[in-house]
Amino acid sequence: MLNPFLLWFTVLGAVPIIIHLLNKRRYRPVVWAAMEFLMSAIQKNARRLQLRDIILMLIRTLAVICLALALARPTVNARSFIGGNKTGAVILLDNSLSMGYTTGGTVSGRPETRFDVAKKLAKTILDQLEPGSWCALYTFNGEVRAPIGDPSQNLTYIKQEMDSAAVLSDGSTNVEKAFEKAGQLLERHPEFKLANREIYVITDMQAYPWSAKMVSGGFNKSLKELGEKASVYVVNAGDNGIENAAVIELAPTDTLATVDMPITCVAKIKNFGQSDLKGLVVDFFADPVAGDERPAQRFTVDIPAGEISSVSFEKKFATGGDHRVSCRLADDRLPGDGRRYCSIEVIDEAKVLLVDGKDQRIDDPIYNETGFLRFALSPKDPENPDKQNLITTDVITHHRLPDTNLMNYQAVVLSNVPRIPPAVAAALEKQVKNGNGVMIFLGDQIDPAAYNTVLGAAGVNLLPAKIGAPWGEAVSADTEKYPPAFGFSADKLSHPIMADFPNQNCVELLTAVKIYRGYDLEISPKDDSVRPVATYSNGKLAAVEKRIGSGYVLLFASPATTSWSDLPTQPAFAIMMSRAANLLTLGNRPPKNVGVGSQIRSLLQQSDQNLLVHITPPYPGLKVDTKPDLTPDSRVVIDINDTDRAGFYDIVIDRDPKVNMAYAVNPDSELESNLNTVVPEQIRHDYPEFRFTYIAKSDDLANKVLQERKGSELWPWLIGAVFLLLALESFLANRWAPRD
Amino acid sequence: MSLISANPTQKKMMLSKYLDPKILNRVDKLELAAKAVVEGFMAGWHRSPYHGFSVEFAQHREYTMGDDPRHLDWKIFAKANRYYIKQYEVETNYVAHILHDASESMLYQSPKAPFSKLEYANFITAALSYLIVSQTDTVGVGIFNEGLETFVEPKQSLGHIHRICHELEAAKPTKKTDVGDIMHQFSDRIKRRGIVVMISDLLDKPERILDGLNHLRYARHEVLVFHVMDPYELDFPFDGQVKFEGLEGYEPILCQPRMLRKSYLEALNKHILAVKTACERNKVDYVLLNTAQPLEMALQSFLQSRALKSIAR
Repeated sequence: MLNPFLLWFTVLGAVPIIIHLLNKRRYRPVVWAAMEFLMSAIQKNARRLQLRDIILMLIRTLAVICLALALARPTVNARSFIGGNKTGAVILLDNSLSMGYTTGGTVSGRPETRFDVAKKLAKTILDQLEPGSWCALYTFNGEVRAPIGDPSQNLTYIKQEMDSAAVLSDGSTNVEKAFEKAGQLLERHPEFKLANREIYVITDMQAYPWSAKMVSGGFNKSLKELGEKASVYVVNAGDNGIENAAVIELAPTDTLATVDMPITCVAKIKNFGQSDLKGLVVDFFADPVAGDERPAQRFTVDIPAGEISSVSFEKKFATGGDHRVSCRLADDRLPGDGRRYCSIEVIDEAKVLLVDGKDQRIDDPIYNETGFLRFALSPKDPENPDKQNLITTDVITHHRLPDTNLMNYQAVVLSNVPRIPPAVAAALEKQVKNGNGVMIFLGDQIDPAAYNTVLGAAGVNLLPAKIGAPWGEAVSADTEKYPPAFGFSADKLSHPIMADFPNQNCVELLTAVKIYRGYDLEISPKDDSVRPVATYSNGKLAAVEKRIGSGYVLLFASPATTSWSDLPTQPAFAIMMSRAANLLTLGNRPPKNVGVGSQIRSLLQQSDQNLLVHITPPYPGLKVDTKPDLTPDSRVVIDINDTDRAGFYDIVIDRDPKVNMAYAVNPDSELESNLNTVVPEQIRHDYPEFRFTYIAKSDDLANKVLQERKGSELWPWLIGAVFLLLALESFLANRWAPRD
Repeated sequence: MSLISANPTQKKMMLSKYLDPKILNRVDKLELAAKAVVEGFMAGWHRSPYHGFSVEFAQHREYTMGDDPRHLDWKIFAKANRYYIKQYEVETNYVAHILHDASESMLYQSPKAPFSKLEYANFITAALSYLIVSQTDTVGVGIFNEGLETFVEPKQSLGHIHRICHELEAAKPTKKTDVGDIMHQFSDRIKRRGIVVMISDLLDKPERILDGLNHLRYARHEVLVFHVMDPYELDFPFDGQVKFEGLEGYEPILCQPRMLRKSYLEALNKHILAVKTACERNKVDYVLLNTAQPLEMALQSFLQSRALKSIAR
């Protein structure tokens, strides 16, 4: 009620009644004879006339009351009727990466961010809550978290906790999750059952979280239901700043890195703004010492608006283990995406054991089984014969296999080895489970049945596929006649070994290969650890991968010689072997570089199960000492689930000697760095059933909230009602008037 | 110009104005008014009302001073040289009884009417009496309300008119109407069949009126009903908030008469129709009189009724 004192005018509603009563006192006396007829008329009409009188009097009274109410300017809010003055408020603070965009102001001696503005707005909202109101404070990005837990009536405490516990993250915004959480709160907490319910979403109105592709199909319905349960306020804490550059990718060119080998890291920098960037300073850091902000290398780049620029940084690491490389843009208004982190695992050396199926060691690659493999894995540069390769190879004949310590090698390649002794099979199994790899090339010397028995499901279960009968014809060295040949199929080249061909637009390198003969490989459809690597154009499987423990086994249908194909002499072979060696060497281990919000999993050795593990996240003061977990499949792991912040997550294991591991967490810059905003009209258009109140940063939030709480003004309706009632009164009075 | 010295045409014009109630209203003496009314009314008739009445010789009587010399019997004077006058006995055609309603309801007078229903009824009674007596018939008047208040025995003399007028003026209307009952009483009281003229506002139950009429007709009386109504009673033209204070002891009613007019008129017309139908059924002449209208209608209706009855006889 905006003019409550004018409510006194409602007593004027009694005026028609008073006039009616006064009229009853004002009459003309008439002496009358024919009373019988008059009484008869009254008897017939009394109730009808009385009803008409009452109806007309009520209409007149209502009209006066409506007019008086209109003058008092009443407002209506259905929820206020239920909850009274007390409010149950859910404040959802967007703490995604983009909220770190600096506004140009300062707060506590540091640049003010959108998140600081959001907190101020949240405090203003808290100030508008009546004592006794309930409030729940949540932050949201990809996840929704509660800095203070359950709803509280201690609004001062909430403010204090907001300052200390609500922190910016590097996550992406997910408004759907935020609204979902708010809906759950309203349902679950009895404090919100009867109260006047309000939901405040304080965000920078980034456009992408509201786009249809980022939300589920039922989002519109959820919003509609939420709008019916509570008053929803979308508060814009952002500004119109859209100029932003971000490091969207930082990765080494080679997946395998060894000690003292130069490693090239490429940073991709995108200008998301609408103005060209000139002289953008890009700093690279490699294993920085705490407190030392000097970059390892500095570049200056120009990036046109909307374009991506790549900057390369080369570095040698003298020791093995995990190394930290980061890239940072100087003077970035959104620091969260102006820096990117990369953990590079440097191994002391990558050794591959090549097991030749020939009985005797022959140097001519044409006549042995491993010559082409050695060339492909450790190529010699004729112009620079001393140049060290990433991978070093040892070659043995298959007879020496049982006596060789396989633990010294990251990968073992069996090339046309006739049979695998069971003991060797067991050693290979152990190797694979520990994260090393095995690559098997079949050929004319192998005994498929023995392979299937020893290495197959009946044995150590290393074989990715059951080896069937050979198909095609081999090339005859005597006649030099070439049988019908097939190439690689250009379809489904998604396996890491083959992915370079479509990525680099050189699929023809594969299709040009001539395959004459191979074994049928039969994979079990039930085994989800197996996946095809490539197929031939005749539909036969060319290679299959099996994931076992932390390692891989690769099985090729044809040999690594020119007897059944010309593959070993083709450039595609070198590419495939290089990628295969990387895969086998690094094994099936969880990635060292993950996105914000993703789980970090570190696989430890079985012996580490009882050791203490120290975890240091990128934000200070939250070091954790813990012990590894044991997974259902008996693996010893350390899991870090709270990865809201980008940076390096260090894990130190109290092994002797101590093991330092580094995991890098980076934001999804493609989403969060694009600062285009959505206008409320667009939201209303996209989600037409979503009822919400939009409050811009420049609006008087307090007044707007109070206004909304009071609800919409009713005076136009009341004036309309007055006119309607008067019209109705005139109509009825005229209709009921006696006619001569 | 005096009434006596005027020629018949002038006399007719002068007297006929007395049929207008507005003029009658200024005449104080009921008797005089009745005479004026009847003579004014009769002035328009071509044949004398005295013609046709049988006048029979009764006896001779010696002439005395003051007797009209026109009645001297010259034949006896020639024979006996003495003066004798002839005496005649007038034969009365019928005895008329006028039942005059003097209940309280008859006091009503609206602004549109020059006088009350009672006054109007008085004029009719007086005029009819005068007319009847003038026609050498006998007239008696019963003044009633709940019961018979005054009864003037039937006589045939002009002096009798004087008494009737006196009784009419002396009547004090204070009680309710009971038309039905009075007709019953009258039927029992009158032994000789004759003409009964009822002058009333008939504010009684139609069935009671019907019973009374039946009774009178059973006694072989010729009945003529003059239903006297005020123009306001017939039209009910009231507006605004009105408190109707009922005559005859009814409780006051506060209402907006404009709203009730339709229903009132329906009830009234229903009543009139019921009475009229009952009259027709019993071969009773029914005349509705509006007190704002001239008295001519009442007299004309009476004479027409008489004429028709004579033809029928």
